[in-house]
Amino acid sequence: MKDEEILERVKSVLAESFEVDPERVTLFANLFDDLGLDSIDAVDLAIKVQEITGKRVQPQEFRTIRTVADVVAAVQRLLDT
Amino acid sequence: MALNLIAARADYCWRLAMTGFCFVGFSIGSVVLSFVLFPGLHLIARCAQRRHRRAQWLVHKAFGLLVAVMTAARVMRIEILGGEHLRSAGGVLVLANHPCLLDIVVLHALIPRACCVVKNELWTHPVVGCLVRTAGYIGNAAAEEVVGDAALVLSRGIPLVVFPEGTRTRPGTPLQFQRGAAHIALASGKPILPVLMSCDPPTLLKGSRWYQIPSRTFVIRVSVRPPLQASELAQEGVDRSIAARRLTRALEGYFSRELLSLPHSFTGTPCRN
Repeated sequence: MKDEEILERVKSVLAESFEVDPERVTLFANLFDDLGLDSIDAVDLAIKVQEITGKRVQPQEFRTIRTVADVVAAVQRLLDT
Repeated sequence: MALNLIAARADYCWRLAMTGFCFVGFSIGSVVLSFVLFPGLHLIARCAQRRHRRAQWLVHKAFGLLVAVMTAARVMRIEILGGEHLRSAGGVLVLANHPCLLDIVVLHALIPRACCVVKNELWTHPVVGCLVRTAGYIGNAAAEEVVGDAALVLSRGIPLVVFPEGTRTRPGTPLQFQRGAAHIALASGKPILPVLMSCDPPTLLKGSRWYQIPSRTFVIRVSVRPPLQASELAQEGVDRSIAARRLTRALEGYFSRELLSLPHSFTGTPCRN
């Protein structure tokens, strides 16, 4: 999957499950400060990433995620492994 | 006229002195509970749940004493509507807005045995930390664990006090709830007991010092409302992230509306400690 496709998937997940307006989702947007997610949402987002990639997400890997770019990179990394 | 001024001045000085006395009393009381009574509990109650129960009861009594002293000293007055809901509370999620530092003291004084979610700063505090851990309160460091721990406490029939704002209200700004309380309500399936609190004139706000006391005895009003069911406020069958958002908005709306219509004085409810 290309980065642009992943970004689109992430946008739709953020819109559907976290009520985030897709227009506000840029690669640099911070999930917590800019898009209003909280730490429980981060756990749910990790589960969504598992669903997209079909791979298990390591909790410690997801704990460092801050921006949309981090999510895209994590999805890409999981797809590559 | 001059006599009135002198009387007002004397009243102010008295309340200032008593406020200082209560702060000192609170600090000494915390030290005694943390380093004398609670370590004693470890000796007589080996079972953690029994220890929590006794510690919660001691906190109830200690805060009841503090409230009684503050009331007797005319530092504050308390007016309560629906207090019987708190006295008989079982496994309900007690949600309250948080205008004043004393809200938690008043709520613990009114509920015979309660658990609460405490900020991480308190959890790791050298004195209060021991107290909140022995009482089996829930630290909010790991949000995901808070929800599970809270649901467990509620399933044991212990009322849980949460301030959904997460901290004291900033005066003049709209209520802003964090979503943790909604997650707890949804995960536990237990009823929500809404408690509307007000403090008039405002005092002990976030960032204010103990000696900045109001010009007259302040009144803390506590209005306990009939229980709400999370399932009636949030749609079922959606992701929990969506359900928690809807429930949080519904609760914010409920509290904002109800606080606006909170009467300035509750008549016919004598102050009870």
